Amino acid sequence: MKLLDLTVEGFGTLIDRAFSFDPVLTVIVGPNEAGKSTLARAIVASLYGLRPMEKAIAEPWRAGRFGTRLRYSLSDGAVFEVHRDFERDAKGISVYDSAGKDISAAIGNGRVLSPGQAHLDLPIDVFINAAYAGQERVTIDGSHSREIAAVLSHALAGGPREDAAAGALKRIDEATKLHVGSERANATKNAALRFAREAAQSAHIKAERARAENADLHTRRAELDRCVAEHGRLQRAHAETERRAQAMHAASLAARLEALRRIRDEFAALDEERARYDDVAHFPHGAMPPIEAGMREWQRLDDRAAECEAEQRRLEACNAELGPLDERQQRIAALSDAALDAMRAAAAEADEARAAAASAANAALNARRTGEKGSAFSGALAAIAAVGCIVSVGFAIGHLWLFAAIALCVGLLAGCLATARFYARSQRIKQAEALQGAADSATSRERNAASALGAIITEHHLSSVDDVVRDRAAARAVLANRATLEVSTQRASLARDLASASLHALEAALETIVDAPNISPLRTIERARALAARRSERDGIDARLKMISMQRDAQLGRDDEIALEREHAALREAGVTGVEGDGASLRLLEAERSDLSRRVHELTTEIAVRRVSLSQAELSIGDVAALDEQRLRCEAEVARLEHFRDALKLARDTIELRTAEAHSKFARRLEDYAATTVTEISGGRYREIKVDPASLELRVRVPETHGFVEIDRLSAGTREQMHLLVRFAMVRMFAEGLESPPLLLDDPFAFWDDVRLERCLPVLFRGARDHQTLLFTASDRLARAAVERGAARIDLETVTASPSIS
Amino acid sequence: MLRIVHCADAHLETTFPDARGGARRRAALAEAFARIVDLALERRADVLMLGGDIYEAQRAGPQTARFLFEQLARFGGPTFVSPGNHDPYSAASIYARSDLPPNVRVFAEARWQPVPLSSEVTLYGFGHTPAEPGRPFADARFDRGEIRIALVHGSDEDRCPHNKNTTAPFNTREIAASGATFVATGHYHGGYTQRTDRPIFAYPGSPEPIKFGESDVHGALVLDCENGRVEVEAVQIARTRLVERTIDLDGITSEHAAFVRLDDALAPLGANDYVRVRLTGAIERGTRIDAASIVDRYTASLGGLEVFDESVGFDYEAIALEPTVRGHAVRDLLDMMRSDDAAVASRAHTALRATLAAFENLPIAPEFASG
Repeated sequence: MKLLDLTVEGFGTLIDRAFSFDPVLTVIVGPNEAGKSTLARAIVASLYGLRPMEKAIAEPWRAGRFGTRLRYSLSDGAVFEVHRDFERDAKGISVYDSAGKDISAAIGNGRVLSPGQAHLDLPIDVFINAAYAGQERVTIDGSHSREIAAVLSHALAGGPREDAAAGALKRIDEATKLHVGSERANATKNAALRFAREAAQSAHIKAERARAENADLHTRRAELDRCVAEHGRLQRAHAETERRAQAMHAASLAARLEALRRIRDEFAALDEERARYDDVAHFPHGAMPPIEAGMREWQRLDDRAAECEAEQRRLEACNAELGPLDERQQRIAALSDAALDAMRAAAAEADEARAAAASAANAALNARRTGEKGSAFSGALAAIAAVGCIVSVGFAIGHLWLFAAIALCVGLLAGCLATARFYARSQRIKQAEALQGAADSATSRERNAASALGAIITEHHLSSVDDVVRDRAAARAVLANRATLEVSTQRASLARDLASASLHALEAALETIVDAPNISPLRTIERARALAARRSERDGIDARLKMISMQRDAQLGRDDEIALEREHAALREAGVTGVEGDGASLRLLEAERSDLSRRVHELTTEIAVRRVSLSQAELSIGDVAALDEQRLRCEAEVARLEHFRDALKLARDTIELRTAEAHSKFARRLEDYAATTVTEISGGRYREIKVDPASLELRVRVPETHGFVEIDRLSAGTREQMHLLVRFAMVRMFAEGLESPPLLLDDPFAFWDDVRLERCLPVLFRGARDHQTLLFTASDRLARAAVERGAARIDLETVTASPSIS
Repeated sequence: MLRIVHCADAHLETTFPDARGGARRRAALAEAFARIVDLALERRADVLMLGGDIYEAQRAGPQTARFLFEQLARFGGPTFVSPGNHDPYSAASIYARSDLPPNVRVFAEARWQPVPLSSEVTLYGFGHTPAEPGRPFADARFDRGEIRIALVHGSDEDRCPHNKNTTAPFNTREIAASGATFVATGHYHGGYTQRTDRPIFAYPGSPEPIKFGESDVHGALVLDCENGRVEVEAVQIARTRLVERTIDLDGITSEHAAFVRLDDALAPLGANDYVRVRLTGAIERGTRIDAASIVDRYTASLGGLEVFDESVGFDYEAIALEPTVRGHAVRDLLDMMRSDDAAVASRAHTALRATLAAFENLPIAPEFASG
């Protein structure tokens, strides 16, 4: 592609400007802010359009139409003109051919019209990273390496345009994501393979569960069979026990019937004996005890009457022996107890007064005798006192003072003692005299009492009170005997009456039970006793009959003897042979039979329950075949998806492999192209350069180590040099298979030193012969150098508007 | 004359994961087994023999047992079962149940057991247990009666496919050496009778076809034993068919055209036909062939349908000559498709279809994997 001319109606600082470009090399010169970079961007925007973020930056600074017109030619000579109205974005573009025909629809893809894409076959990112090197933007952006590599490989192969390995890989990735998806455990969508695996696992679990339930059915069925077998065994055992029980029952029946027969015979015999006592059949029960009691009462009363009569006779004899009482005896007998007591008191008082008089007399005598004793000793003491006083005087005279004092003391002492004794004697005499008075008074009282008592006794012609007492007692005894006799007489009469009444009552009672007139009660009683004894014997027979009846009832229980007979006969007819067994064995057998019956019943219930449970379990079991089928289908789907996944991976690997191979080819070519210039630009320091086809990262061989180093380890200027060389090489490669793009160099050498720039320019100029080059620079020196080599020069400050090209 | 009806390989409760309609096909198998009992009753057979694999032990449930017991009880006559490798005798097998009909006798051991059927005919039965029984005729000697019938489930090793394992294998020489007059057997689902001057052994086949590729003989054998000979009559029982069709779509340019050809090919088939269709031929690039929609279209009219799309929308060889990444990739994948390893070749085929679809911006679907 050769850019012919560009008219800028309005784009950033450029307003209504027109530029014509040399088909080989054009140098656009202008100072800073002159619009060099704006012009370069206007060219790119004319070819590819503006990105949304660029539109605001590129809007005209002054009023005017926001648009450009670019004319260019292709290698086949075709000329096209692109009209851009950036205000209308993607709709504001028209492309005309050399005949002025609008070919927009022909070169667009229906949505986007990009002349750069259509005629250069380069995406904008590839164009920018290959053909548009700006100031400080020489470095190739590795993020677009895949697109750049694809274009380079196309160019190297000379087409074909339909090859789209990157798109194919992207679509394979999309298909993998859509149909296989993520296998992450927490993925909830876009995980078809995992879902299929989970579905297969779920179906497997369900099928295994149903299979386990099926196996459990077998266990249940085996258990049911075991129960049924046990049930049969128990039923047989129960039947055997039943047979044995029947045999023992037959024997028991026979024994019972025999016992009943014996009871029946015994009952008949007793009944016959009982008939012999029918004469006392009506003899009343309990008649004899009251008669016997009446008998005993009558006898007791009769004995009592006899005793009373004997007592009466004895008292009468005694009374006759005592005779009648005279008047004195009657008075004495009539003497009251009070009189007798008064008499006894008078006698006692007289005795007391006599004793007191005697005592007082004795006391007076003794007192007198005591008072008379000791008078001689008291006289002696008085004499000693007198002598002592005299002797003392004597010694005093003789001035024997000591002896005088002693004699005086002795005399005084003896005098005191004599005085005391005289005083005591006088007191005792007074006391004796008082006692003598009391004795006299007592004697007087004794005398009075004796006089009173004597008067009483004398009245009864007795000598003492004791005689009175004795006579009174005797008289009273006679009186008492008379009274007792009277009472005894009455009691004997009463007892006899009672005995007679008792006898009458006894006779009346006997008449009710014994028809025995005109015989004594005793004989009547004897006869009644005999009747009562027979009645008792008859009652004994009745008791035995009752006992036998009870035995019969016990034997029969609630059974009927005839029914027992029939049952026994039926058993005999059935051939059941009686087996003797004691009660214990029969009870054991009955217990065994009961236990067996219970177990049979329990097992019957258990079997019924198990059958129901088994039936329900059978109904609830899943369709294992259908579940297995579902599992197999899921597993087949998993296998299909895995196969699909593996196939997609294989397809991807194959495409990538072939892509990498293609990339490695363009990389070698790129290295070759770059190697021819790197020596020249670096002044021989670097001779070899390596390009990674995948990332487009660069390495150069350094002379110091003769090894390759990453370009990042070199200086910034050298890095830019290397990248610019690779850009030159890429544009050159594009020219081989594709439409060669114009190379836009927006002052990339601004920071280069003169030596480096001097080395680069020949390379630049040589390259411009193969592909149109537009060099934007602020350096007049560089511009002049370029012009010297045949380049066209555009001074931005002198460029004016030009007429539009149509 | 003693008349015996022999069948085998009913495979009750088997699974059919390959084509749709598994439940209906299982029901068809059970109905076919009932028709065999009908056959035995109609022909007034004296004995019914089952040559193994009557049910799938892994899946048979109470309904299977009820159905089987009902049918065997319905026959009522002496019935002999020789369990196979899919229904081996064990304590948990249906044959060991206590409610097995009293007219049924099961050969529960992996050794020959003689049963006199008449004064002339003696039956020798050999049953499978869960362990592989080995060669049943290796040391077998049958010498009772004039006619000695052996009942066993095993593989005729002369006809066993190379990729299949044998079970209880035997061959004609062993049978001749054993003294057996005739061997009624089971295992192969396509029936056939091996003869020399007389029948030697016979497979009745499964009552209904079970897998694609089996022969068309599916039924029961009626054996007439008289005068020292056994006459064999194969009676077809099956009502369902497994049909494989290859439909050439060469040159079509639309889905409609594909349906027209499918309609023509599938029109003669009905609800008892389970069909596997392979679509082949070079079709116009981008023509939609959707296996799922094809299956939906014919579901109502067929028993089941399985579609394998092997149609080709590209000229592989021409693309392989392109000096491009696509050309190189196609060339690589075509080379891999020629591999002896079927899995590698299949994967390469799917990858090839996916690769071309990716380059052409066509849908890439898992159905590619069914080709």
